[in-house]
Amino acid sequence: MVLLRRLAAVTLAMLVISLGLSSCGPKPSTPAQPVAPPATNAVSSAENLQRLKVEAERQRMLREREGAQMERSSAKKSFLLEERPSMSEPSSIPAAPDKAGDPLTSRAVPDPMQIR
Amino acid sequence: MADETVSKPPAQWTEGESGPLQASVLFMDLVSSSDFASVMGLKDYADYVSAFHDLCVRQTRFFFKTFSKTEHVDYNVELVGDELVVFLHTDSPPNDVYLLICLAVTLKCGWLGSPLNTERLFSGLSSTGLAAGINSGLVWARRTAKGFVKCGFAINAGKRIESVSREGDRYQVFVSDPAFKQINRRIRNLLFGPRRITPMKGVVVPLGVHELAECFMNIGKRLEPELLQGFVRLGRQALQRNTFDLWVHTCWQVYQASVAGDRISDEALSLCEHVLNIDPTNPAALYHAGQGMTERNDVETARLYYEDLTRHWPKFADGWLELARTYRSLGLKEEARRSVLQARRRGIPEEEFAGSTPAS
Repeated sequence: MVLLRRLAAVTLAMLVISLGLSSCGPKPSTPAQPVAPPATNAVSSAENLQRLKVEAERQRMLREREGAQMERSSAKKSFLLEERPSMSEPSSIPAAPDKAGDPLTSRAVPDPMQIR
Repeated sequence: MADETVSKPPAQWTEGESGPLQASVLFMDLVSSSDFASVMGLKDYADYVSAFHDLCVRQTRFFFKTFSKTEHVDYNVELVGDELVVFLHTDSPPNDVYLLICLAVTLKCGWLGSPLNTERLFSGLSSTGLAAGINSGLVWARRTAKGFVKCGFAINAGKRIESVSREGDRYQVFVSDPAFKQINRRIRNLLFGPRRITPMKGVVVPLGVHELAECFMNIGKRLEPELLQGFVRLGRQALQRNTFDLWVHTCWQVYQASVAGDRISDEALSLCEHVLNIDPTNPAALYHAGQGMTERNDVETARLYYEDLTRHWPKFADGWLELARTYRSLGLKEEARRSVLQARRRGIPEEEFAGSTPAS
């Protein structure tokens, strides 16, 4: 009986020691992010920025191209449904001059009610 | 008997007389009416055709009253099913052809504002249209108490021309060679497409036809007032739905300019630009855009419009006249002189060159 108690105490002591040793030891390493030296890190950021800019530009061009294609394909049905910017903004056009005595003023095409 | 009557004006024929009669004939039909008949109920289709008959009666009466023409003497109107036939036989065949073209365009405008088209347009659908064929020639006629009974190939050919007019891509108003010759170079407000030969059932000898390509006719003076209101109400709506029915734009544009004192409003100018996005050669859009820019003292831009206009439509005399005036205002004497020559050889009378010839 005594022998059994001693054996249990020894086993317990060894278990405590082994647990204590494992918690104090080095932690299992996780795959670490590569850490670049400071100089290399700056170059990489610039490259990333440039890559992002190029990608953004490419996306913008794609969107524009798609928009133009959609506009062309739907032009038959909706050319007047949407208000497009005028070729000449009314605000930039001076008011039409008084017609009387203005040599520049055009006339309507003659529209006879009957012809001979 | 025939020899005695052939030289008489139609009004002088007495009852029972017969002989050759120079007549112009207009056939006008509902486009795709058979398609509608096959899918519409009997009553709906009957209402559809009835609306067309109502339009024809109202507009032809108003139109010929405006010109003091007498029914059964100067003209006859017949309605057969979904087809309108108008004969005009006054002592001026060129004027008869001209009037029938004008009548056809006014009927198209009137039909645009019909109840059925109103319903369709407000439902987001395109409007239904009318197509027309016009011919001129001798027919054999017999004077009766109710007018003239007529018979002849000119009538058959008119019907065939109307049938092929649906192939048109502008006004769908086709004019035969003989009718075209009556008015060519006599009018400045109508433009025609190139002559085309189209096979026609029962027509052995090839018959050339010309599609009305542009019409600077003011419907305000010719369309029955209520029908005019309908057109004005629905014109813009129709332009949004019937993209390539650009005749609607021209009729709207000419009418709007007339009510604005021959001025091009900002709205009208904007509409010209929209149309030119679709059809860069559109004569009415180029002409009115040029006029609008001139009115706004942007003569350089007006010049570009008029140069496009005369390049695409070199037979349009008024395009040359306006280009000459624009060149003159820019101080381009040689260019102005050449444009004046172009306008002159296309029938512009001398007195109209004031303001367009370069000061010597």
